[in-house]
Amino acid sequence: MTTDSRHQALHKQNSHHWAEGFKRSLPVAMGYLPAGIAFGVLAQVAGIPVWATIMLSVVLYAGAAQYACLPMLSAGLPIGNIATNIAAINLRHVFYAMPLLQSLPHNKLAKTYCLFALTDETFSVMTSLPQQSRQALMLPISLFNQMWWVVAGAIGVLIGSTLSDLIPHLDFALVCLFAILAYEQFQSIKRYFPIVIAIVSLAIASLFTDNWLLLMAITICMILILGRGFWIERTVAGVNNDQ
Amino acid sequence: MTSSYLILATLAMAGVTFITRALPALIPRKLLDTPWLHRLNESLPLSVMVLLILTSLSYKDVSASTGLNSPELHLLLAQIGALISVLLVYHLSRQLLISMIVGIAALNALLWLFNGTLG
Repeated sequence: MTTDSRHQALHKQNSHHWAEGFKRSLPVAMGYLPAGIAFGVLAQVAGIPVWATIMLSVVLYAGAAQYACLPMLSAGLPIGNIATNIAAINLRHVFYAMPLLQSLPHNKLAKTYCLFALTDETFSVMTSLPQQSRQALMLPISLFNQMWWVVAGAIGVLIGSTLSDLIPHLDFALVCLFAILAYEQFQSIKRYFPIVIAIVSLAIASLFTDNWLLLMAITICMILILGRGFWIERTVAGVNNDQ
Repeated sequence: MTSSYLILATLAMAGVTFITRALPALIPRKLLDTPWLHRLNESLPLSVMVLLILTSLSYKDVSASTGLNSPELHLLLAQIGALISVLLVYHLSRQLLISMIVGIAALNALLWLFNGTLG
């Protein structure tokens, strides 16, 4: 291999395929545009300033968490309380980077950005690509996806105040969205017990606290989910011992 | 809701979110590959969504002594009816925006109906 061709090979390995990345981001745009516009509108209805709404889409960049933080910010919940709730909502992300570790860009800054921007949608697109084309596409896809999300949020902000003047009870759209997200979650796991556990936890938490209601209820949920897991494991082990 | 509160809250949320996303690149894989973490990951998101829905409903002003014609009960019933229609439309169409529009329309229609027939 000549120096020149080696240089070319190296260059090819490090380069990003921007045009292809843009094309791959278009299906995500179809989902991000309505969801992002909805976020912009809901943030306006919740009384979040324009700059803070855009900041959320740029710095936090997490769909469900951005919706969920709106009522918490309006209510002025303590920051530690909010951050813990958001961590629980985003817990699923802990597993997303695992199958993509080899596909991250070499550049430190690009790598950090790709980890930061690893949303449900970017994860879905990336893992649907063949292994050898992932590395060149990860940064472009991540960037274009977030671009769609931020642009959509800005559009939502622009039309938000007009819409909320025209339509009564527009803030209820947020609850509708939570219901749809819950439906999607249910479809992916097909289990009822997390719903039952949530109702029980809320009932218990309501007895003790008002300000920390959500945080306490989520904590009880975690305890119940883990407790149920250990109980099932013990029962299975017990059955095996009996045999 | 001061500016500094919004900035600090956003940074805190962004911080915990970045940690969850970057964790596999920072710590050994086997620390994350534990059954209890998988169990939480599988079930907790649905629980949290249900909690977010329940805490958003206006149930706090409704008690056993609330009258059938009270606006508080009307609002709660209209909210529940609207959510059922959202789930139905989403189940059939899978259209996020359309389902949300149906939800708002259903809430307003039900409230109008309750006020007209019962109020």
